[in-house]
Amino acid sequence: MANTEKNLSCIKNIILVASGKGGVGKSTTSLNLALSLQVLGKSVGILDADIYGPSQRKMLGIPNEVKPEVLENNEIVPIEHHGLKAMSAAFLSDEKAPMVWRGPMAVRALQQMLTLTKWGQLDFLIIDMPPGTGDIHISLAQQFNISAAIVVTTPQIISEIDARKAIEMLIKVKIPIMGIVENMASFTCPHCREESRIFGDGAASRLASDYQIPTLASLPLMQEIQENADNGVPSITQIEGSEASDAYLSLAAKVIARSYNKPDDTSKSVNISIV
Amino acid sequence: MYNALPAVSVSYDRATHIVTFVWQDETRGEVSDTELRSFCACADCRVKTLVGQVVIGRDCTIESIEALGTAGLTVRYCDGHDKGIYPWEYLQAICAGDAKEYLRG
Ligand SMILES: Nc1ncnc2c1ncn2[C@@H]1O[C@H](COP(=O)(O)OP(=O)(O)OP(=O)(O)O)[C@@H](O)[C@H]1O
Ligand SMILES: [Mg+2]
Ligand SMILES: [Zn+2]
Repeated sequence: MANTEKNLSCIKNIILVASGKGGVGKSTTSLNLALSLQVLGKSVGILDADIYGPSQRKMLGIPNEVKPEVLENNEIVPIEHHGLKAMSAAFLSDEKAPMVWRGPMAVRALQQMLTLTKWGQLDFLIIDMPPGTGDIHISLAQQFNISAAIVVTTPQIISEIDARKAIEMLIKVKIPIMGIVENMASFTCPHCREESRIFGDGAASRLASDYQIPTLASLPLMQEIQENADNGVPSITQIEGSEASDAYLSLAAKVIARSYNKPDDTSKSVNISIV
Repeated sequence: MYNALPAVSVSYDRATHIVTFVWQDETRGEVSDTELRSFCACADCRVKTLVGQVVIGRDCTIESIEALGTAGLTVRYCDGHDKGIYPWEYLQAICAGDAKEYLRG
């Protein structure tokens, strides 16, 4: 136990990237945010908490044969790639025979990955969460000092509904929500350069006004983001000044601002009575 | 029209089934427990309201109320349902009889 606390004690901010619905871009956002924070001078780690469907090995482009070193006391040395310290269930299991973890076992596996990894000094640890609002989220909230969560949604109503569930769960477990990232928000036609909001409009702003949480970024749907993720070359490491890298850098800047200057809790207490 | 500021006080009278809000501008709003339940702010109930389904088919009382700072209010009902977090603005809309309009955005 002493050791596990030790491994987390030098991390200044632990940030969850969550969503209700799967496939909305948590992993892509997590990785590009982590790399952007690093571009802005921070030391950063990324934990792929998607025990069921880890994706960071592929997105980071870490070859299958690269395994983390496991020390005698069971502590794990994270894999360093693009300057990030990364850990994922995929690093610990065989790609062809993925581990099957369910329920309490999955929760336990994640706790161990988090606490046994020798993260060292980090300004930020970004946790790429699995979709949904299950046990994993609740146990993380209860057992670790999570600084904040970022909720990713796409503009579709179905994603908004699931994002709402994620927000409800985060508020109940008392994890502060830093803000919303609206992903795949707009599409610019490569031919006529016309911008359209093909998936609809307003999901992020409705959530933002309902729960008094800001929209941190509205990221465009870009073929480049998709291809880079699929090829293991994260967008932000690519062409400087592209639309995608600008958007991620501005997201990272907001995350830094909100992490170090927490708005003070001015919420006056509400007098509640039941007679 | 509505503002996001938390209420000054929220009181529930089990005898009359009425929840009374006192807002920061000292105006008051009232809603019955069953009506508040029928406009539950959780994702599932919102969807039902928006597509015109009945959220709850019977009377319902309140067991507990908790304020979550600027995020809003959470209410636990006699049927055990406590998933909704009612934004302050939404509560004002409910008291004004505007809940559906508010949900439609
Ligand atoms: N802004 C974007 N533009 C284009 N493609 C994107 C964008 N964001 C994500 N994608 C693509 O969408 C797919 C899903 O993204 P990603 O894996 O990040 O989602 P996820 O929320 O982590 O999914 P899961 O719930 O399965 O973990 C990927 O193929 C990714 O490359
Ligand atoms: Mg993912
Ligand atoms: Zn409900």
